[in-house]
Amino acid sequence: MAGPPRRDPVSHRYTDSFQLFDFRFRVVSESATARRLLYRLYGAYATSGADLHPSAFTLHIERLATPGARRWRIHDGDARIGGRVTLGLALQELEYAVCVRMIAHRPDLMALHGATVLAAGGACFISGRSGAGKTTLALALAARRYRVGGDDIALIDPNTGAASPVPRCFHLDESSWRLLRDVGLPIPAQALRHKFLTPADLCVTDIAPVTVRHILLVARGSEPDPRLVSLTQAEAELGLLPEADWPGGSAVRALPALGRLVSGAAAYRLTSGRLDATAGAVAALLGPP
Amino acid sequence: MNESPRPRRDAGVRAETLPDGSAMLYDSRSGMAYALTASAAQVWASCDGTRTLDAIARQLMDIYDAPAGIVQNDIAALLADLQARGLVEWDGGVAA
Repeated sequence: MAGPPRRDPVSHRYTDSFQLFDFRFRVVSESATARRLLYRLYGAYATSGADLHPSAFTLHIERLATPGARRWRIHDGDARIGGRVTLGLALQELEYAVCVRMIAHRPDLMALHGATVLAAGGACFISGRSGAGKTTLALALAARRYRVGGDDIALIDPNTGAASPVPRCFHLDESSWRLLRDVGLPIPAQALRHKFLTPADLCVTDIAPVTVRHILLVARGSEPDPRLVSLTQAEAELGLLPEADWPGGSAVRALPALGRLVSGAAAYRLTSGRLDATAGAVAALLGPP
Repeated sequence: MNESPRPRRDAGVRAETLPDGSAMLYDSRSGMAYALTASAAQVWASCDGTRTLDAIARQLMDIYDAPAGIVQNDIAALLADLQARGLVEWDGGVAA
């Protein structure tokens, strides 16, 4: 839900402020649609911005009217961040820029690539190399009423191993959108139109840090039937290590944090089969949503 | 005196044992990390430079109730692998 309108009567621009993991930023746009989509992503993190310093990180969304030019441009006042022909793609560049700066702002937390799916019995962290199908699997689980906190990055507290999924839009190619329609994921029309699907579109907002109870390392490739192979916690930690991203940190620093993350979890290597069967096998593992 | 060789963990290797008994090894010199199963982690923990391969095998035979020959062969293969990766050294000579 959008916050109170803060539209400048002269420039007709909206200015909205957010605080994400203590990283504060603002977004300026003259597009009500852009603002609406933005609130689907960051609405739970909106702040009044009254005490936000003028030099705080500020991103501008502009629609360009020049014929033949890119239609949407993202910039930070000085430098161009990105430009895309659709608003959804432009907003993906915006939220990527926010994500990168937010992670840099929190060197006390370790960024770990993967999807965080919430079940009644605890969270499941789904990791694997790019293209392994983490997002599609997470959203297929959403179709089974599991809550997906994020599909790309979680911030790990090195002291507790608790995971906090970072709100990002889901990055899906055309075949993934098709697959998700096939498994019955209800996608809001606005998200479908702009190809900008967020956790809030799946009724997930403002996730507190969660304890991970299951870890899935998704292998590349697929077989006719899904296969789950139990892993030791050390194998899980080793599998997660390449997905850890700690600015200025090394494996020496990442391993204890990963150790705490895997300590309370059962880990599996997943070779995917048909999407619906794979989601069913994982759901059987996770228990009720 | 002909001493039996005794494996010893390399001091530069950082080890972390997890609740399921498995362990992570990290060699900061090479930047390589390794995952050990629970039984391999027990062998690793036993490599303190005071126990021979036979003594480590006896210890694990008691725990796993496995035939002596199989346990000894498995431990020898594991130690050879760990040695090849620079994770253990042998005091009193290298095991045959």
